[in-house]
Amino acid sequence: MEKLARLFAGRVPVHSLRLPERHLPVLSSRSDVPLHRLCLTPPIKAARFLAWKRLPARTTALGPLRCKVACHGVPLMAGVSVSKAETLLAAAPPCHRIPSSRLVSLPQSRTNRLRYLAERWKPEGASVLALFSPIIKGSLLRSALDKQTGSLLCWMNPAPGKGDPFFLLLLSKGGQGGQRTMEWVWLPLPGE
Amino acid sequence: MDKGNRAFGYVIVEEDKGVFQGAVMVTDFRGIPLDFRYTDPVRPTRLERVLYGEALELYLREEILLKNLLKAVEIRPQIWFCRSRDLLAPLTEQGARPVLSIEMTGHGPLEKVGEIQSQGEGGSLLLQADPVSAPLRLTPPEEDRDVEGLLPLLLEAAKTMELVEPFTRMRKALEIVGDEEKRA
Repeated sequence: MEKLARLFAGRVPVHSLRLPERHLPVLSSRSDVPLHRLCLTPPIKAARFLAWKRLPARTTALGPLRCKVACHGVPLMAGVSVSKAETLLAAAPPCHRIPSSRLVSLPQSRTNRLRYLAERWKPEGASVLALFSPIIKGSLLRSALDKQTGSLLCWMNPAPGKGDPFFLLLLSKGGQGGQRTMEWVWLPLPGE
Repeated sequence: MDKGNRAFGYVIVEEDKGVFQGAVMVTDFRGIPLDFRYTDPVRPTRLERVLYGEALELYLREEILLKNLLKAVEIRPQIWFCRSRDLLAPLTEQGARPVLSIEMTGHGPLEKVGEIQSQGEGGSLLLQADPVSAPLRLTPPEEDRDVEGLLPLLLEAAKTMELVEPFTRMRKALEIVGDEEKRA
């Protein structure tokens, strides 16, 4: 082995391999892919329950004493005691005053109760066309017969006062020459 | 509270074409209003109707309208009245006691004023409140069936007012308020 080594020593050229320089393009797989949301700005709608929780209960002044109306604990009518029950006044919601003129002028209505009178009372020489009850004669400011419904509209005096309740009857009476006339008659309620 | 200060409270909570609204009127025994409160109309959206289903109406009537109305009323009446029996329990829960639902009937008059006639299991009874009218149907809440204790007050007031009539005026008042707000 040593002889062979001596024979070939220096005879074997060793070459280095030089590759020519090449500029290979490097490609990236990355590219700009546009992304689209299905819904760009989704609208959010909320239930309004929280707002409703704070729903104001509005108030209106009533009658000639409306100047005494307040939103926080003053009664509308003089002399009316206000019972401040805890459950009712635990929180005072905001109140708004609105024009009340039309509310104040709302009449009470009385239906015709003639059919319940039956045979209990029959005036002589007259027939009863309508019977309205109960009406506090002393508090009645104005009345009007609603011809559409047959009800009597009663505008009552809101001022505190005592008065007895009455029946108000519309009678048809035979007059001279066979002509019939209408007449309104007040009758006290039984037992009054 | 003396005799001159006696009062009744009337409550309506209604739904019309998807709009809910409520009102309370307290009157004296002549039917003269002492206090009138009403809520803004509430119109739930379609989404809210779908999400909350049947619970929505209950919630609006009881939690939103009734609660706010009763909080606002400053005069405590002797008796609360409603037309719908569905309101009896929520009114009781909100502290509006005693409460009765009150309705006109088509029955023939009972024999004498003050006479009552039981109407069976529902706890309702007929009351002949005055001499020339049909009897009224009164229904108490299940929790408090004692109607007879309230009869003296009802009979006293029936001498000077129509007990059911304030509901009609409240309806008209709400229409007027609605018209005024539309014009404003």
